[in-house]
Amino acid sequence: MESVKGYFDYNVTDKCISNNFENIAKQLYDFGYHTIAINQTIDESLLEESISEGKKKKKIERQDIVPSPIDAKIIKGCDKLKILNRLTISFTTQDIINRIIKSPNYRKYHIIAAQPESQQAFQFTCTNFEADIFTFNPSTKPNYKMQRKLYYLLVERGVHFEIMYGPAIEDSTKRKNIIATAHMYHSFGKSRNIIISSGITNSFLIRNPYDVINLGLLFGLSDGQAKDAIQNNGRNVYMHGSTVLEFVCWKLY
Amino acid sequence: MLSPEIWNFKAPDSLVKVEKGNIVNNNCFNTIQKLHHNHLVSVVLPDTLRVPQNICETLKNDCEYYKISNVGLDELVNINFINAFVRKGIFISLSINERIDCDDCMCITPNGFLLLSLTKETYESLGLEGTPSHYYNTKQRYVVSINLLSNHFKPGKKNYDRTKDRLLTLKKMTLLINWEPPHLDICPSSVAKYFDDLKFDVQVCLPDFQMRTNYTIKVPNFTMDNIHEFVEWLGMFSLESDLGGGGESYLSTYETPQPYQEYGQVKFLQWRGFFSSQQINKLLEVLISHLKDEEKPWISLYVQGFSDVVVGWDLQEHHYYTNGDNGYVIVLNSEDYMVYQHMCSKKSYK
Amino acid sequence: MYYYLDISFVNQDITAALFKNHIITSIKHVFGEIAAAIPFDVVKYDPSEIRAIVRVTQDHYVKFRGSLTLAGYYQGKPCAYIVHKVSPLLLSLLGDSRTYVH
Repeated sequence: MESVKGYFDYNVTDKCISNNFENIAKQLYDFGYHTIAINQTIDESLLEESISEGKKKKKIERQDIVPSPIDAKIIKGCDKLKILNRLTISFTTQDIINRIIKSPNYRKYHIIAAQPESQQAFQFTCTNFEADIFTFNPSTKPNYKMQRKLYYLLVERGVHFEIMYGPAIEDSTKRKNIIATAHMYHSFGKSRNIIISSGITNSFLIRNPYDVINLGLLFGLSDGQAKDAIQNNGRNVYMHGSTVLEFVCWKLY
Repeated sequence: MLSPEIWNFKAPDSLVKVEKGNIVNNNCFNTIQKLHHNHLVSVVLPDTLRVPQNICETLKNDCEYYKISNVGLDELVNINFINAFVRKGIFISLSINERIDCDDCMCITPNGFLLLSLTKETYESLGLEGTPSHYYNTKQRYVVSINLLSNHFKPGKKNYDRTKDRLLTLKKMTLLINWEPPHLDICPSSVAKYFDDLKFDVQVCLPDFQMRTNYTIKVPNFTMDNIHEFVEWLGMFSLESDLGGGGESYLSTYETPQPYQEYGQVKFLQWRGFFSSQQINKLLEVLISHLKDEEKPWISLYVQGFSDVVVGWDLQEHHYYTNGDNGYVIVLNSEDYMVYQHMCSKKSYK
Repeated sequence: MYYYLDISFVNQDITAALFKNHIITSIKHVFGEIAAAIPFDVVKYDPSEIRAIVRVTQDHYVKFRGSLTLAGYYQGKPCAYIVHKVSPLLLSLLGDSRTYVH
C-alpha cells in the first residue's frame, strides 16, 4: 500500500478531464492538494434507459455498465501528485449494485462512493454495501431520513461523509442544500468522519486548503474536525478503500 | 437536538505576550534567544536621513547560508560531521519545501538535537522512538528527537548504528544550513565544502536586502499605553499601506494613532534569508548603539520565524493550523524597550 | 483585535471601490444584510495585481473569509478570491517563508 500525503481532494469530476485537465491538476497541486481522486458517476436512472434501449435493439454482447477508470497520465511538474480513481454510484434500489459489483471494471477503482436516492437505498448502504464514501446530490433535498443510529453504524464501518464546496460556490440552491446537509450531519452525528471535497467542474472553483478548513467551521465542524476533513480523514478513506479492494480481490479468487 | 453554530464563529487562537522594561538590564535580548530559526527581519528608523553602513551590513556580511539539495538524513548523523560542525560553533538547519502539517520535516537546533516531525506512516516505517504530537487528538503525527551531542551517540554503540540505519529509509530532503564557526579564523564555508566533497548539490544563498525611504510620514509616539495600535502602525508602514487621514474614507477607516509627529524621512529595511539568533543579537546591539549615538524618537525591529519548522519558541513543538507564524517586535528608545511576542496557539485541536 | 488578510481577486481588473463593494455583496449573499454591515478596511490595494490587504475584526473573521471562499461570480462572470496569508499580526504579511525561493 503506497503512502498518500498532503491535502486530499476526493471529488475532481470527470468533466475536468475534457477541459484541460493538466492545468487543473497543476493548480490543485500548487494550492496544496497532493492526493486527488477523479470521480466518475454511475446514475441508475440514466442506466435504466440504456438497458431498456439495449433490450429493444436486442444487443447480444453484454456491455460493462461500469465505465473503465480514466487513466490519468503523470503530469509534468507534478510528479508528486497522486491521482486515484473514484466511482460514485447513485441508486434507488439494490438490484443495480449486484450487477455493478460483478463488473470487471468495478475492481479497478480505488474508492467507491454511495449516493443513495431513496430510503431503501439508504438502508442498504448502511447495512450491506461496502462503500468508502457516503455522498449526496446537492441539487435536491435528500429523499431519505437520517437517523443517529444509522449514522454511527456507517462510522463504525469506516464510511466517511462527503460535503462538497464547489457546487456551493456556483449555485445558491445547491449552497443551501449543502449547508443543510452539513448541519444535519452535525445534529445527528456530531460531524464525525466528515471529508470535504471540491466537486469542481472548472478551475475557477478551486480554493486553497486553508480556505476549505475555514469553510468547515461554517459547516458546523470544530477546529480539529475541519482540519481532519481534508487531512487525516482523507488518509483514512484511502486506507479503507485499499483494504476493501484487497478483500474483494481475495474473495473473488 | 444538537444545533451547529451559525453566527458566532471563533477565529483561530493565537497568543500575544508583551514585555516592557529598561534597556539598562539588557533583558530585551532574552526573547531573541528563544527563536532559533529566523527568516525575515525588518527595521523601521523614523527621522533618519542616512542609515549607518554598519546597520545595513550586520545581516549582509558573514550571513551566508547554504541550500543543500537531496540530502539523506543519515549524513547528518555522520560522526565526522557532528564532531566538525555540531560540536564546534553554532549549527542550525531546517528542511524546506516540506509542510509541517502534511509532510515530514526536520530541523537541527543549536543545542545539538536533530528533530523530525513525521506523519504516521513514515514514523511507523522508520522504527525509531518518538512521541505523538501534542496538537492532534488522534495519533497522526510524531516527533522524533535525536541528541547528536550525547556521549553515547558514536559509531560502535547500538543506538548510533541503529539510528543511522533507520535514517537511510527516510526520503531525501532539501536543507538550509547556517553555521557560525567557533573562531574567526575558521571560514564558515567549510561546512559547504564538506557537503560538496560528498558530491551534494550545494548552493550559496545570500540574504535578500531591501531599503526604502518614505517621506513626510505621520509617526506615532512610542508610549506604553497603546501598544497594539503602535504595532499595527508598524505593520501599516512596513507594507506601505494607506496610513489614513486622507479624503478617501470608503475603503479604509484606519488612522494613524494619536499622538503623532510628522517626520521628513522614515527608513524601512528588510532582510530575508536564514538567520540564527546570534546574528539577530548582533543587529540589536548595533541598533542600540545607534540609538545612543543619535537622538531618535524610537527604533523598531521585527523578526519572523519559519512557518514549517519542527520547533518554535523555547524549543517547543510548532504547528501550522491556518497560519504558522512565530514572530516578535522589539521597540526601543533611549531608555525603555517593549517586546511584543506573537505565538501560535499552544492548544491541541479539538 | 483584528485579523489581516492578504487576498487577490481573479477575474478582471477592478477599482478598489468596486472591489470592496463586491466583497460586501458576497457577504450579503452568504450571511445576509446583518452581516453585510461587518466593518472591514481595505488598507492597501494594488490595482496592477488586484491584490489587497484587508483588516477585519477577529469576531467576524471566519464569516468574512467564508464569504470570500464562497464568492463565485462577479457581474455574471466566474471569479475567485485567493487568500495568500492571514495573520492577527499585520507585520507577518511582509513575507511568507513557504513561498520564498532561497
